[in-house]
Amino acid sequence: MMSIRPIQQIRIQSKFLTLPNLFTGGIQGNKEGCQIKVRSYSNSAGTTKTAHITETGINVDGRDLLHVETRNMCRCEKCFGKFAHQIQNLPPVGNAFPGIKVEEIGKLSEHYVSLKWSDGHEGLIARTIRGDFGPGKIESRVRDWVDLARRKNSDQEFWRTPNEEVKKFWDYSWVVSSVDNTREFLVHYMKYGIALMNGVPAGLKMEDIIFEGLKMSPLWASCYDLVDYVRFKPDPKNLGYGSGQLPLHLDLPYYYAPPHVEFFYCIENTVKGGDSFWVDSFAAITKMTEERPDLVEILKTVPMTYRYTPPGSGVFQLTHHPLIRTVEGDLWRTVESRWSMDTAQFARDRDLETRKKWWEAYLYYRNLIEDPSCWFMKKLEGGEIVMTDNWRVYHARKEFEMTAEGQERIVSTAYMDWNSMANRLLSPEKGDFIFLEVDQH
Amino acid sequence: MMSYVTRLRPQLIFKSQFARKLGNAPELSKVLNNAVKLTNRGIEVDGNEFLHVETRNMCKCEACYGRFSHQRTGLPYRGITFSDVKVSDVGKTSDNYVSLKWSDGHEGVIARNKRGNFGPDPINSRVEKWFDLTCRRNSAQKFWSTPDEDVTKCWDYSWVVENQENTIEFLTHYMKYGIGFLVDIPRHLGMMEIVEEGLKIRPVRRTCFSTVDLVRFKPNPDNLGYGSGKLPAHTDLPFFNQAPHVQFFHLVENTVSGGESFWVDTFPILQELSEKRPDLFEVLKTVPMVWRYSPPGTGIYQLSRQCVVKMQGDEIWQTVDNPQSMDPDTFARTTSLEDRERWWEAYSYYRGMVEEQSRLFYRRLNGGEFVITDNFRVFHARKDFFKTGEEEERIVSTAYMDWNLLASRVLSTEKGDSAFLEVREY
Repeated sequence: MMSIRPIQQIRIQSKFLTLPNLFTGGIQGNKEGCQIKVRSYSNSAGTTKTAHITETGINVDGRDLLHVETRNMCRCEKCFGKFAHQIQNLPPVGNAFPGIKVEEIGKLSEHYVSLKWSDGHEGLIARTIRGDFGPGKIESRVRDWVDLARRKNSDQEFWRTPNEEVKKFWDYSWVVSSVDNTREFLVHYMKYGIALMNGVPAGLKMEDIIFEGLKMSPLWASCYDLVDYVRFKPDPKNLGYGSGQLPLHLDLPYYYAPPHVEFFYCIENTVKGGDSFWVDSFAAITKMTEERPDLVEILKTVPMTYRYTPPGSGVFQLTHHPLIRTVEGDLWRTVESRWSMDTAQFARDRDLETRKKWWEAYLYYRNLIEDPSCWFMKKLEGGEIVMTDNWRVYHARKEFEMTAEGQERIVSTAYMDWNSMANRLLSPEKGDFIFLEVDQH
Repeated sequence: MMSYVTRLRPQLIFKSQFARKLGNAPELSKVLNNAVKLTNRGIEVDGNEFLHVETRNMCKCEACYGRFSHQRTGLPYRGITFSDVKVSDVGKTSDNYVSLKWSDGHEGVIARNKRGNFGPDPINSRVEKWFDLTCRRNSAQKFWSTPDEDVTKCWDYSWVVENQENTIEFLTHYMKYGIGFLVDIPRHLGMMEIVEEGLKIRPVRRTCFSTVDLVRFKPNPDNLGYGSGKLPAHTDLPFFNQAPHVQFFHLVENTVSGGESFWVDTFPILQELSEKRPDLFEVLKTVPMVWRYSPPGTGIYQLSRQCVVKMQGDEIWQTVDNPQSMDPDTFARTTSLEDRERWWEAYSYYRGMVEEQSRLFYRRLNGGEFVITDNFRVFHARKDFFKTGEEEERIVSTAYMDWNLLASRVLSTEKGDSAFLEVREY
């Protein structure tokens, strides 16, 4: 049972608190009679928050922070660049500040706590998200979307069968009419791994849609250049340029860093056939984990070899990837493309027993993916654009044919890093300076 | 001689009279029997066993494998793995191919060796020689705990770009050591000319720092790289879920005092850590830190979560570490205290190893010098610098690229130089 002496208004004489403050303090005692110095802060709403030193660090508002991490969290302008928002003036040796301890807790304000450390440094850490990121819209966006931006499965919506949300079309003009609309669209995309827009004005190019409309950049340049135009050609150097069916796949597995966000813009589609379809691999893997976790483990650990080596192109790309990658237990990325698989090289790289297990696992997984009830199928029309999460949602195409002169299927594709896209969700507009409020502490 | 038709359609080999005669020839029968045989699980070719399902997926006939794309063609929407198909007959065997017939009725060929799989020289021999290195297998890399002459070797730019063989020699050196230095670069050349025209590798990867970034001092920098302060050893752009792999660093001018660069190879450190403190190594592999770059007013707000150590199976694959871009606050909000305690213990231990002076390679770069570093492996850093005169400058140009584009330069023939599979000659 803690006993608390009466809390009094205290004017702190400490040299590193230069302003009069609303700071109150007192001494708490626990039943063993140890004394814990408690600092508290009361805001205008009468809410009292506290901070005190613990054995492992400090406790701020009921949240335990380690000594070492508080030192790395210092937000004073000596430690955290005002314009860069990066940790600066790190020593050449010991730049993780090992062995450091908090010696004293000083002033508390609504968003910050003053601390003094055993290396002699006096600074402050953020108590709140606002203190860490800055006021206003940044704070609320980070609070609402940080987990979605970090691809936490808990914030994503897996779909085993396509529902109305997955199939929803967003009007392009509405999406680009304001940053809030764009963000609503992007949040939808991040949740479902797919988002469709229609009503794209004729004549707009991919770059116009992305740079000017959605206001995102930069694009990720691949061996297909920044923006690729996919239309039928004979003897294609890539099957995408043919007219045959393309089974479910993810793009560019022959990069160790396959691009994350894919833009697929249907410019014209007057051919017969050529329907597109999509499936959510995360939902399939979740189901497989429930049914056969042993096989999922194989797909997480045994890499397949992928290649793209069209003769005469000067392109010769080889990689190896496990089909499934996880981070902190979350499904993170799927990498797979049947026609870029190098089964022969895989057979040379792995022993027979491993390969046998892999094929068993792969066939099981593939059966789940290839269940037509799980597909979202649509014949795209000119002026429609699809964004897919190339680490999660497979895409495919039925074969097509030109039955009359003048028919065409022209598609424009491009890629982007996830973080460049998430940037649009989290960031204020360029030129809109949001500094930390350390000066007001 | 095989008929023209048979040559174009290997699957007819089973039906051609000539092929049957070959099969009946006593010497070839023996070869066929020794080289290839059917087993319970598939076939054995030159002592290597292949499963039925993988042979069907390995077919290199022109119905299954695009001649111009070198991609598997004609795959159905469903059942594309041919899971129930079995080899029903083995046909002709040549140096590079074996004819097979499967239970789905298909007749085709599989490759016996790398040449059959990839095509004739020079592709074949380059793949033989450099496959493991381009796939970043640790066994092909050369870790360095202390910088030696190979690590510090400077390569003359003109020699490197003179022909493809020289370029390959330089690039494979880079791939082994994670670092490569070029010197005596003509002063009028900029980054794109050096990379795209000289080394003939492209495209450069665009980031929030544009395609090519010019790094020179500015006051109130929105990135510490544009300041004059010291930068501890780090990898670049950890706030991308996929940090760029290859970093190009071109010293355009360096007339200031100080500003020495230094580098350290993290892979031997991680190897040592995995042996001495596997418990801490495990933490760095499994508990992700949060990284962020959000300079006010720039419209940039990038956030990622990644582990300091990433593995590919048992291979050390990537280190992600940038003390100035760490976000310990968000880390503290999103990770349990217990995990954080373990993480900081592991990180401090590992960082102590990174900072050992004996591991660091220092060099003051001069104008016209160029460094390629493996941003997944070799940390770079800078001492602080200052100007003692008005005209003094430190100007650096930086750019990034995906690994596979650089590896493509090592493995591939020049554009236009077609190296088809030799299936038609079979």
